[in-house]
Amino acid sequence: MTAKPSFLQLNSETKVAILNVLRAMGLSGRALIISIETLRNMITSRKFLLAVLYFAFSLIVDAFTLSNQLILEKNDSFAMFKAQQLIRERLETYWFSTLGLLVILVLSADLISGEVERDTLHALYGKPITVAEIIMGKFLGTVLAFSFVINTILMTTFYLQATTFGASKTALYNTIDEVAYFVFISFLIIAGLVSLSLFFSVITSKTLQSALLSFVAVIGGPFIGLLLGLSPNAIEKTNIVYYGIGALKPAFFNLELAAYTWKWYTFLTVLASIPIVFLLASTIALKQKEIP
Amino acid sequence: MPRPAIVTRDLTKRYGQVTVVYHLTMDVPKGRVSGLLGPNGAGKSTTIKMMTGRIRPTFGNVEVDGLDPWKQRHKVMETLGYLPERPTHYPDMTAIRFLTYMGRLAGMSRSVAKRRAREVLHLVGLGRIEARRIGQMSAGQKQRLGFANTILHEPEILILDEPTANLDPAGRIYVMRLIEQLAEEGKTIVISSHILPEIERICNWVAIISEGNLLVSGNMGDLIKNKFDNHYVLQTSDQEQFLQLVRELSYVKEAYLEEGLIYLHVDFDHLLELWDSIPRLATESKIHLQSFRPLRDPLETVFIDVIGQKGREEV
Repeated sequence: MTAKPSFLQLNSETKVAILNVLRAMGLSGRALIISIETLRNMITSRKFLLAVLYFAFSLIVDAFTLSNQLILEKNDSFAMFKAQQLIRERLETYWFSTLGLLVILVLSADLISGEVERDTLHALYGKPITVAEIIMGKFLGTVLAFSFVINTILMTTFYLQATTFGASKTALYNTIDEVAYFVFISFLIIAGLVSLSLFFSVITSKTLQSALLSFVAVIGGPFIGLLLGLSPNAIEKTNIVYYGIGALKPAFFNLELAAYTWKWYTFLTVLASIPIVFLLASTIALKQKEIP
Repeated sequence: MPRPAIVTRDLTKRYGQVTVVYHLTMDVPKGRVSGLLGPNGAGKSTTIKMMTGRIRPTFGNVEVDGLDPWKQRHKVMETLGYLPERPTHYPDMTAIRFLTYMGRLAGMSRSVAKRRAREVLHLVGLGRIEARRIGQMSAGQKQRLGFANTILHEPEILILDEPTANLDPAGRIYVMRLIEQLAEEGKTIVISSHILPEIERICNWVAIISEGNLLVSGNMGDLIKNKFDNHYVLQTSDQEQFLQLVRELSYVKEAYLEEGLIYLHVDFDHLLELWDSIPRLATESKIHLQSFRPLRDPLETVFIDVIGQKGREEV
């Protein structure tokens, strides 16, 4: 039986064919270069600093809250329960609430439309890079920037809370897989939001339009889902006032519901398919877009 | 005969009811400097944008080095460098960082990209301000930076849309010399410009477009052959006296002095006589002849002829 040849042993034509397929999917060194540049631009922008301050605000609130807590009992299960409860509250209240969504969507709304507005897309189009590489590069850089900030704060909050309530080192160690799952889910949610915003950024030529459309889609999508009764137990919790006054958290609300009612693999597949669908749609849309 | 670098066949672009480029068919020769001429709104930039895969033709097709730029833009860009009419850059980046980034996107390693970036910055005369932020550069410096970016990945075909726009006279001469150098290296260069003397000096193939139609195309030598202007400008050491002398020539239709220069309008049939008479008159009258030149360059004459002819046909 002959061994399968490694990539290095393949003939040059096969290698080129494989690399071309990867490039067409946006998986290449060039996409990585664009993502690093996007990440660098993102973290050095003033808007992003404001976003970091906003997300860090929850950490400051926790620090104050914890310093005033009267802790009567210290044990692992209580500590873990309190830590998980807090994480859920933080996710609902700050990160995937209306304002949190707005911060992520607005900051990623100009990924392509901003380039069109500033006329800088010509610079990228002037070099031998595929549309998929541009899309993937912009997407990865933005997702990495948000994931890093949000997940750092998320983990800090979790361990701060758990330690304050007396969790032992063993208990903390045992929760690593849970925290990793939280981080992964958070990463997928951010990826979904950024890909949606990226898609609107491609199909519109104005950043404001792109931000508004993304926001309406994120808020309106789950709301329509709820009205259509796609989520069990949801209709009774739905009312126009709740969704109309701005104290909205439908995206997370639906997500939480799905996390409890679906199988874990169905949940992860659905969550992971959102960025894939929007990235594909963004690539097709940008390919068809004329850059005058 | 080598395969043309750029081929267009019935290339048409419509925006709604407005046709900007109309059934344009031409073969841009390889390894030569070609000029794309036409008045404002003629469809030159739209044609160039279709050649570079920025916009999709409504009808017909364009091929650059045998490839369709709209469908295979990234492959076309491996051999094509494009300088847009208004080159745009990232204002927060320094010149060297921008070019290194672009070099890396062109497939160079970080060290090679940086070295090449330095090279082209020196070539366009921006070597001393490589660390300056692009947002702080003048329009002329940005234009030079755009040119540097165009030649960064050493493309075989260069499409330059108004390459000397925004440049001062020194910058214009500098960039024109660079284009001449690139032409000597055997690159295919397509220049769209309004500045006819520049085109005439540098190009050896020309296409004139008006209102989206190709009016004429061909070798520069063939186009300007036997294209003589019948308006001349003269400067002598004694303008008043020389004006009297030229007025006595029977074939001079009109002669007048304006802002210190003598302007002549002559009968086309007597051009040879005029070229013979003017130096002779100056010698006989002991007036020093300082300059004697046609009012318009041959290419300008061709341009006015074809544009005017189209106008007359439409009337």
